[in-house]
This record gives sequence, structure tokens and C-alpha cells, in this order.
Amino acid sequence: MLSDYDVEVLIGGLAVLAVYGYAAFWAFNIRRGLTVKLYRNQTLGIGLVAIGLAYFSFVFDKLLSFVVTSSLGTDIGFAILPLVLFYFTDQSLRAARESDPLERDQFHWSKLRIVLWIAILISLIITGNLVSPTSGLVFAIVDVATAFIALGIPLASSAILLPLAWTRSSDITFRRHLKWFGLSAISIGLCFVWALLTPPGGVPGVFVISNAFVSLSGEFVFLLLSAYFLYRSARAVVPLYSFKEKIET
Amino acid sequence: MVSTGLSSLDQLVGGDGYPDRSVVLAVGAPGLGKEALSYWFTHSGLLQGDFCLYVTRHSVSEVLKNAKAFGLDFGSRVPFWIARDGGELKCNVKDLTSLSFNIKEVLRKNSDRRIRIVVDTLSALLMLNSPETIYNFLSTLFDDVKRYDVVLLGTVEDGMHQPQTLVAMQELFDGVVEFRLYEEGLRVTPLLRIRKMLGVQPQPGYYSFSFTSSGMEVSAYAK
Repeated sequence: MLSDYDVEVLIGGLAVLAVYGYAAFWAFNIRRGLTVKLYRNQTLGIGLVAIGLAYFSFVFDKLLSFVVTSSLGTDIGFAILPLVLFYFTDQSLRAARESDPLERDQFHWSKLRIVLWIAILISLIITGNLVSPTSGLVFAIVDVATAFIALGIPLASSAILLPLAWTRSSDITFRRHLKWFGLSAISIGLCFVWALLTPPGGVPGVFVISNAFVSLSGEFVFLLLSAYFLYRSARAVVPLYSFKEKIET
Repeated sequence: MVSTGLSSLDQLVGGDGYPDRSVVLAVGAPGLGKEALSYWFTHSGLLQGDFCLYVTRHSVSEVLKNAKAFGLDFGSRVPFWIARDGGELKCNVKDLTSLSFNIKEVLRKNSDRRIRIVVDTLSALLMLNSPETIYNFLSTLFDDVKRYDVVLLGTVEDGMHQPQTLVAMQELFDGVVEFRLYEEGLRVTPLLRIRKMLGVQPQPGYYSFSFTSSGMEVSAYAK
């Protein structure tokens, strides 16, 4: 018999999955209409981020515990998200260069990206224990460092470079696309903050919401907002027209 | 008439291609493939022995690589390039005066031949200059097109500029070929429309299109 909490996890979790799935659907739908590889890759990136976040929310909102009980699912979620996020950042920065009239290679991205890709992939391989490093203290240090690199590079590059690309671009469609993506990322961030401040039992002296039901509802609100903003971002990659000749804004 | 290089498009724009001494604009969102029109137009001109001038903000190698992605290999026949790198003349989108002068000089020197010009720098120019400056630049350029035996094909990005800028830009051109993504329910379809063409009745129809290694396939689109 499911408890009220379980029912909320199921309903909220499925709602979040559905909106992220819808965002991914639109990204891939638009991708089918594009011809040029660079922009197809960019829409692929946003679609993959939607899938990655859907999976991540699956883990984060405990829905996964209904399906898998081992930590493998969580590990996969933490491996997928940095990869897809970095792929999206990479493709977006390449598209940003294309929309720059002077085609400036910001931060020498065309070269830097190769180094960062190698660093992330190697870090993920080591973090995922796909190779066996030495045991003991060295192993612990290497493990922490590589996990830091694997998560840190995608997060830092998207948090620093995408806003910079947004401010420097004068392409109104690209700016709109990144604006929605930024709102989605902020919502995810707020979800984390909410989750940290409202653990079951509360954090003494900080912020106390001991009601697990309310705490979980807050997480779902932020995740749903994030999924909706990502859906708007996916639709804003290129201008979409209807036969009524009204351009979507 | 001057062939577009694509038999399917020739049919749509009046039967045999773009009108003589005309300026045509291809408008479309990035990624829809409007650049392919420039590649096929140039390729066709080179095969027919026309003088082809390609004005691009990219490097020559980038344009050739992009053209190859559409199945076009220029081989030994190449246009006269005004490009960022690798061309006969340097294209500096920040220096509109020298760009205008260079184009004028190239046209004057080849005025005894039929000339095709491709300009893919319009969006970049619009981002760096006021729309009025670009309208003036284009008006001067179009005067030369009308004076010599020239057909010009320009490309501009949809969604990059303010809609009113794009509308005003389209007014300057004799023909406008539009590439857009249309949404019908849950379906997204790339469609092409001939918004206007000098000497041709306005065509209200939409056409679905796809690029193949031998060109572009076009078919009437039924909503």
C-alpha cells in the first residue's frame, strides 16, 4: 500500500518527467527540420539535456527508488548530466561564434573544448571505476579530484561561458533561447537550495520545514518550472511559424 | 533568365531561373539550408562560364567545406572570392566603404561578361551597422547590378534581427525566397515560399523541400 508521500512522489515525479520529455520531443522535432550540422547538433544538445535532467529528476525526486534500489541508477544519472550539459555548452558556443559577425573565437573555444572534453571523459572513466586506480589514500584523492573535474568543468563552463555568450550576442533568437535555458538552470539551482534547506526534520537554526510533504512539493515546483523553461528554450532555437503568420515570441 | 542551379527552384521562380539584372534575397533561420542556394547558384554560373563573385564573411575553406556538405564540389572552377581568409580580396565586415569599393571595382573590370554575385554578409553587416547604412550600401550596389549584366543573390538570417528591419530589407530586393519552419500541431515542417519575384505572378503556395546530393527536391505542400 502506497503512503501519501509515495503518491506525491509518483504524481509529481511523473509530471516532471512528462514536461522534460515534452521539451526533448520539441528539440528533436525541430532538429528534424534543420539541414546544417552545427544547428542540428545544438538542438540535439538541448534534447539531450532535457533527457539528462529528466533522468536526474527521476533520481533526485526519489521516483527511481520505485524501480531500482542499487546506487547504479544514481551513478548513471551523475555521469549523464555533466556529459550532456557540456555537449550542449560546446555546441551553443560554436553556434554563438557563427552568429557573431566577426566570428570571434571566444576564449579560444575551438581549441579549449578539445582539452576539456578529454579531461571530462578521463575523469568520468576514473570516477566510474572503469579503470582500477591504486588503492588507499591515493585512490581517494584521485577519485575526489576526478569527480570534481567531471562535474566542475561542465557546470563552470555552462555557468560562466553561456551567460557571456548571451551578453555578447546580438542574435535575438539565440539570446531568447539562452535566456530560457538560463531560467531553467536557475530553477534547478533553487531546487537544490530548497532541498538542502528543507531536509526531513529541518536544519536547526537555518530554515525548518519538518513536513516532508511540503518539502517535496517545493522540489517538484522548482523541477516543473525548470522543465517548462527548458521546453521554452527548446522551442526558441529557431523561429517557429504557424500558418497564421504569427511569429512565436 | 539566369538558372538558380536547381531545376526544381527554376520552375518556382518563373520557369528558367532568376530574372536578368535582378537582386534576390534568400531569408531563413540558421540551419535551414538557404546557403545551399548560393552554392548551387555559383556552381551553375561557373559551369556556364559566367563570372562569379562570392562575398563571404567566412574563409574560403569554410565555404567550400559547407558546400561539400550539400554534395557540391567546385573542383578547379572557383569563383572570385572576397572572403575573410583565402580569397583574392579581404572581406572586412567592419569596413563597409572598402567592401563597397572592392565589389564595384570587380564588377567594373568584368563588365563585359555576365556576372553572378553571392553576398552572405548581410546579417553580419546589419549587426555592425545601422539598418539605414546597410540600405544605402545595398541601394548603391543594386544600381551597379542594374547597370551591368548582373544577378545578385543575398542571404540573410531570419530571427537574428528585428522583424521590421527584415521587412524593410525585403522591400529592396526584386525577389525573396523564404525558408521557414512551420508548426502544425505537434509537427514541424521546413517550408519554402517564393514571396515575390520580379516579373512573376506572386505565388501563394508553400513547398516542402529537401536537399540531396544532386540538388534540391521540392514539392507542393498541402496543409
